[in-house]
Amino acid sequence: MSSQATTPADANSMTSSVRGFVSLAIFIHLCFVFLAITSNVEPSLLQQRLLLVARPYAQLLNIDLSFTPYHLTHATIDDVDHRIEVLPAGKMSTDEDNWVSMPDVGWRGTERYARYQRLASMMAYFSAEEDTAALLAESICKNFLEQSSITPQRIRCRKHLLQNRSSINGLAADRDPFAQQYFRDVYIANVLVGADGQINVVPTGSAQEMAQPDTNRK
Amino acid sequence: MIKNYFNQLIGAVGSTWNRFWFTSSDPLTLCVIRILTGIVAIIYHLSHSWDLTRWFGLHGLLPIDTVHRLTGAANDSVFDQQFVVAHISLLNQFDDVANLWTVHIFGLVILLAFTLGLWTRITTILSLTVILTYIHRAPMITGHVEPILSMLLLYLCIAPCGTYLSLDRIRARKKQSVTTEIPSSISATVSMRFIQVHLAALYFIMALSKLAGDTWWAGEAVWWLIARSETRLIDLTFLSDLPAYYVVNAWTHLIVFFELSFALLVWYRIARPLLLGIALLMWATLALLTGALLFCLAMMVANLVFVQSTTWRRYLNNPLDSPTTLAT
Repeated sequence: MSSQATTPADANSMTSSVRGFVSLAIFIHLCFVFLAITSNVEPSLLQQRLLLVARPYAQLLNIDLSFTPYHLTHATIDDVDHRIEVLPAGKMSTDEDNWVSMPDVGWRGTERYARYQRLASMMAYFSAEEDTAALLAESICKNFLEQSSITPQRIRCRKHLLQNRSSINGLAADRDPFAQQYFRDVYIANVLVGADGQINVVPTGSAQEMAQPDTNRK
Repeated sequence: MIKNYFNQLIGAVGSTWNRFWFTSSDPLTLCVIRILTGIVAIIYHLSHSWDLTRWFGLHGLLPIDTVHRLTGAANDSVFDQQFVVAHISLLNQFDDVANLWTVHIFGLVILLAFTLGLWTRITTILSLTVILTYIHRAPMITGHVEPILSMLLLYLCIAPCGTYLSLDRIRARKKQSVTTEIPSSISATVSMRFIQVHLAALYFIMALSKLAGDTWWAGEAVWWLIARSETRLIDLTFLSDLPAYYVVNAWTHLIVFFELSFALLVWYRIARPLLLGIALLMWATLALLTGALLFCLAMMVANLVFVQSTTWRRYLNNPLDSPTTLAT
């Protein structure tokens, strides 16, 4: 760093120019790290501007996260789980058992399970943006059609509301966290499957609640 | 007088910087972290196995063009082009089953070699590449474990983390090329310091971000984690009533207090054992509460970077690497 700085014996084994170069590299890297980390929640205009410079480096090394909050959760009532459900062709939508749900795999403590939850959260996040939500919905429906041999007629993304403390001790219907009253549709669309397997989704606009931006996502 | 002050300041900062980054150290701690990071990386990698084609295959849930639109890489991206983008992934090149599995198995072999300490210098870099390949293929379905895992792998690339507890070590012994001295290196220090500083910064920002949410101030946050019935691993809803609810309040406050304390106090040697003990307890309980098992495990592994190599030597009495063998 400084020519006046005293150096430990080990540091003397490096030439001062090498040490200076390494110090500069460390300093720049740490600047990028601090910038990316501190910009994760609510970046200022300055941080956004600086991130443009740092992004190719920070994003490549997965330091600058676009989709994940470093703080895990704000744990607010809006930080909820979501699920994506597809109604196979020919089934009645009124019977909840007819809907094929996702995540539908494995134990909930695994990354595998969490990945499906994140997909559902992302769909909820983008549900207010019709084109993006449709893009995701089409990919998901195509997957159901081609890989699971399920011809979808409707797709929805549901928000699983949290029980507050009073519900736990309330009526029997309130105590079950999976009761229908705890679910809200944030996105729902009819699915049109062409003869060539082409998928188009048409949002019905009847979602009970428009998606609130999930504070868990950026 | 002012010039004098700044000269002294620069001198003091410079010598502290040099001592902090450029004092050579024993890489044993990093070798232990290599093994544990490797195990986390293998678990993470294997978690893709069941759904490899469902996610990334032809007609997968997230086709490449969809991902590009969501990340900003496509021209008609949902984000401003300025948002773009360094999501480079080998998996972007393939969507057929055979190639996906070839890449997947090849990645697994690399991670195994890294964990066992085989050609460690190379396999560390390749392991980072493997993990980043999966992260960048679909960054929108990544969670909290990935940034910790990639951080550890990135900094281990700098260190001689195959010096101990590794197949490299055994191979070197067979060639009679192992020195009798305990090797220490500046690169081990740089790597360890990077992990420490990065981790402390993460703790700090975790705490500050939590304070942006009212529920953490109100002591309710842990309740809202308990209430997430699709992610929690244990049902603690019996804590909803007073006086048990006070436990929820205390738990919430302690998480924030601990995260803030860790970032600031872990640099004091006397505070470290206590902080590390609490950290292990906190991440274990949070794993049960949030279902984020692998993330909590990765955080535990990262915390171990603050354990000194002398402590590891006390517990790892492997004749292959014991300090007495090395020192004689």
